[in-house]
Amino acid sequence: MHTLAAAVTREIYWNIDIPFRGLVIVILGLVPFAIIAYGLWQRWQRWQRMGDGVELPPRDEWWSRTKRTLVQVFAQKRIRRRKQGGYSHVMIFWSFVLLFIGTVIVAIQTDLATPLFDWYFFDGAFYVAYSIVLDLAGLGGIAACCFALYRRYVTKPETLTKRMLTWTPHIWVFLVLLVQGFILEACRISGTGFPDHEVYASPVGNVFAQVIPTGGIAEGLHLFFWWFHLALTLVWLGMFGQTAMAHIFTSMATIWLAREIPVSTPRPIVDIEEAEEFGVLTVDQFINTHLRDADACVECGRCTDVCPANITGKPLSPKKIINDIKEAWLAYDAAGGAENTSDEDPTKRLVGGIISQDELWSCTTCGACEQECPVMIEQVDKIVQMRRGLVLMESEFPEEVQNAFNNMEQQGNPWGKPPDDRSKWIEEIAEEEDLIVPIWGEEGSEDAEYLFWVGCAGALDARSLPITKSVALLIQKAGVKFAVLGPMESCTGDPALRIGNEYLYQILAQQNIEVIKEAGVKKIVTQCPHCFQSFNKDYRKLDGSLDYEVIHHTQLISELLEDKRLEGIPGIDAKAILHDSCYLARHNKVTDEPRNVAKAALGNVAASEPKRCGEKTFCCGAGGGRMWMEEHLGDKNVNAERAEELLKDGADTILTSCPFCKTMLSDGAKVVAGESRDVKVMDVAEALAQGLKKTKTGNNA
Amino acid sequence: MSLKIVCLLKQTLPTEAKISILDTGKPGDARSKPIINPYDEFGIEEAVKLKEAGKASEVTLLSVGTDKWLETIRRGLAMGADQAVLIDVGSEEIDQSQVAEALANQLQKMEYDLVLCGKLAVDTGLGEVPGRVAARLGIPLLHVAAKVDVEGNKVTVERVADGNIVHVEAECPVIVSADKSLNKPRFASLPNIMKAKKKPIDTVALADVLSGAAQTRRTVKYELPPERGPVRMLEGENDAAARKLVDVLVNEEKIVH
Ligand code: SF4
Ligand code: SF4
Ligand code: SF4
Repeated sequence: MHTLAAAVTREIYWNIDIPFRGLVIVILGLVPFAIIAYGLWQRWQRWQRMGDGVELPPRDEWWSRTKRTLVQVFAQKRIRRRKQGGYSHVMIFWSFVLLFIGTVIVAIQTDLATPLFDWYFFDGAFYVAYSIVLDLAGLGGIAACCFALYRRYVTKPETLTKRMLTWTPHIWVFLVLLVQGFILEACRISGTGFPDHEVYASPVGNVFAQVIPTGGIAEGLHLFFWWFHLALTLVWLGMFGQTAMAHIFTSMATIWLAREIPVSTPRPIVDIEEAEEFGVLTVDQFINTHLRDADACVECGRCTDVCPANITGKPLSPKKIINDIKEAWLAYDAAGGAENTSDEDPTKRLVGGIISQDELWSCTTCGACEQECPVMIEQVDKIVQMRRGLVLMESEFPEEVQNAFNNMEQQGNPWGKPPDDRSKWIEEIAEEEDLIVPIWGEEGSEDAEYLFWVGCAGALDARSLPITKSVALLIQKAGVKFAVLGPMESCTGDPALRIGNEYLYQILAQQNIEVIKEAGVKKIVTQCPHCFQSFNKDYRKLDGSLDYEVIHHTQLISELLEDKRLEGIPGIDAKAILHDSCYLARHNKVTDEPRNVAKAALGNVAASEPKRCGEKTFCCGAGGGRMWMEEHLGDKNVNAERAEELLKDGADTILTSCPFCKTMLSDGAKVVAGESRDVKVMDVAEALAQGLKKTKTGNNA
Repeated sequence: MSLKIVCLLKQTLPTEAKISILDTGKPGDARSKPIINPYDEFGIEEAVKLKEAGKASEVTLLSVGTDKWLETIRRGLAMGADQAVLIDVGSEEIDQSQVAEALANQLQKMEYDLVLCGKLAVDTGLGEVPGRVAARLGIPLLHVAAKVDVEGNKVTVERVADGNIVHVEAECPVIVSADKSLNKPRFASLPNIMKAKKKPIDTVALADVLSGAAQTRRTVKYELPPERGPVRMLEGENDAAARKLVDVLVNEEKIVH
């Protein structure tokens, strides 16, 4: 086998002659790291001044958090969700890391291995591999930097606004360093008389070397660039603790400290009866997490890019919100904190000041922003906290919301229908389908396995009743024993919680929790993803002792299909497209089941999907209590934007899995398709049940 | 001068409640959460606004009800009233004239310059109480106010009449009943809801303010209005449908003769 000669190496510190070199290099190298450490220490002090200071997570989570952070750092998982900016970031990152490691290896060879152990490993195959990898890293880095600069100077995507542009100097510096690296390599190759192996070991440097005259000029150039390179590197590294480059550390820390994302459940107000301040109106009222993670925002703008409110022209930009909070806090801190600032101060007073009410009310709490944010910043909780400030402290909210609040409080549902009306569908289905739905605790419910939580929409809203009936019909056909609460059910409080009326939410939630506990319910199946969210996540944050299982109807039906308990249902004939619900797909990661049900309904054909699907779905516009607010801002309504996307390839049926999505998209489809084109919007359960009804009529005939 | 205001407050069912005849024989809806009679709420809002404007010094709520009303009374306190007095009728049944007498007797024990109340209660729809209280106290009633102005001791109200607006004024003490357009009641802030829990509510026994006044009327029974029949769609082209309609109206429903 051909082995590489020991001469295949390069002379480290060729052309460089410094007295006490090792010592000088170590000292010079330590200076920037000391400056970085100082910068980070300052940042840490700043973070400690925010709210009650940084709270460390419980120790048993440390390892999983570390793993999560390493995945984000080295695999750049979230960053890669975006193609252009994402992959150029990945290349710059890896270029930097590899070259940094390369430098460390050289230092190990010259200042540890050789003097201490007289061991020389920097040759042969190792040297060749090392050199090729670093050459490629340099080349990739140059390409990525050029691309990043091209985006900043030429294409200028909207994302890259404001201080995102202050990153440009760093890209320039890195680019210069990379080019210098190749010039140095070229000078050395030329100055050492073009060693043969460099043709393959340093392919890029070798090309550069062709234009460098050999001899003194190469040596002179080399000397100049060597010192220039060293100085620039050291100065640049020294800036890592304070400038935009500090993001390397602040991002890692933020990801490590972050909660599960998307956060989904706004932090409950504990001991609401004892508290005196509720929500956030001035910047100092934010807890540490919110101030700290805002401080780590890299202003990439990805959150705003995916925000349905922003896309449809509403005044909301989550990136702006985050940076308003960050800047306001820095101003507050610079002014000397609580003692030296007044609540009326226009920067300290966030809500109604630099952050308008319209911005806050535009949010659908869809969670898209949180899912995209590479730093795992919590946008939605901040928005809800500020809504709480408005609702609970100042009684400020869109006028129409007061009705919804009153209705939820007095009648237990946002529509304001009498609670007894919740039994209507039960009477109807008994008549229409001969199906007796027992009430929990009453006759016929003795062997009920599931509590079927119908929800306000499911029991009271004309457009949602067919979904409820379809679910009942399907699970009954499969032999599932279930019962409902009928008029004992009340709103889960989801709209109240997300509009910011935590007080009302907690009253409703406690009431439901009590009913569930008293009834001894062990398994719940919900019709609506919002109810699912309440039971699955929100309630558990209020009451840690809840031990029921809860699933969404698509999960149950999908399971029944899989177990062949629902079989042989002829499909409906439609060109169907599937819309994922944010609260199902994004907040609760349920994406396969609605597809399974849709597929069965369509006679074993998968429904088509829009580009924004699954966990990346696009909101229908109803979430965050927006269902109960007028949509009068922006250039189009969120539901129209979504309907347009769903209908652009000629689908005639939109399949949903959420009653609110169904309502919003039916309206949206009417706007987009006009009256002439007949577009059906139905829940996947309805679609499947239609097949079921077909068999029935078939049998009867 | 700064007025002392007393607001009369009755608890009613929400307007959307589904009324049925309960086991007690009375109309009600066990599942809906009761509210402040919306017209009384306009009165409370107006009183709180006057206080905020510095024209009133104190706002007291006064109710004739039971201890089941306490939560509703607290909502009135959360809107900004300072205290409340509940005349507890317990399980006793009294009519509007007795309610008015109890209120008037209690008012006489209290300091007041202005009494604010709703023009009627949405449950009975009667609107007897403001007039009866005014008569018993011998003070002027400014009824169905769409706007209230207070200048020192003088109260001016605007009332919307048929095609004109009437301006009426009177000197305190006076009783003003609120119309719907008077104001938009506030949504109490949470700190105020919490504060309301600590505000005093005095309970007065009915016997102390209603000595032996006999009931002159008796409610015999309550019944639900007949249910509306289902909607019928008549089939056919315009002409045929019209004929059918005439036939139904004349011969079947006997509405047109
Ligand atoms: S939750 Fe949705 S609507 Fe709200 S800011 Fe984030 S992306 Fe925008
Ligand atoms: S909040 Fe996150 S996604 Fe939005 S700009 Fe900042 S870092 Fe980017
Ligand atoms: S209604 Fe549907 S799409 Fe809209 S927020 Fe709720 S779950 Fe998401």
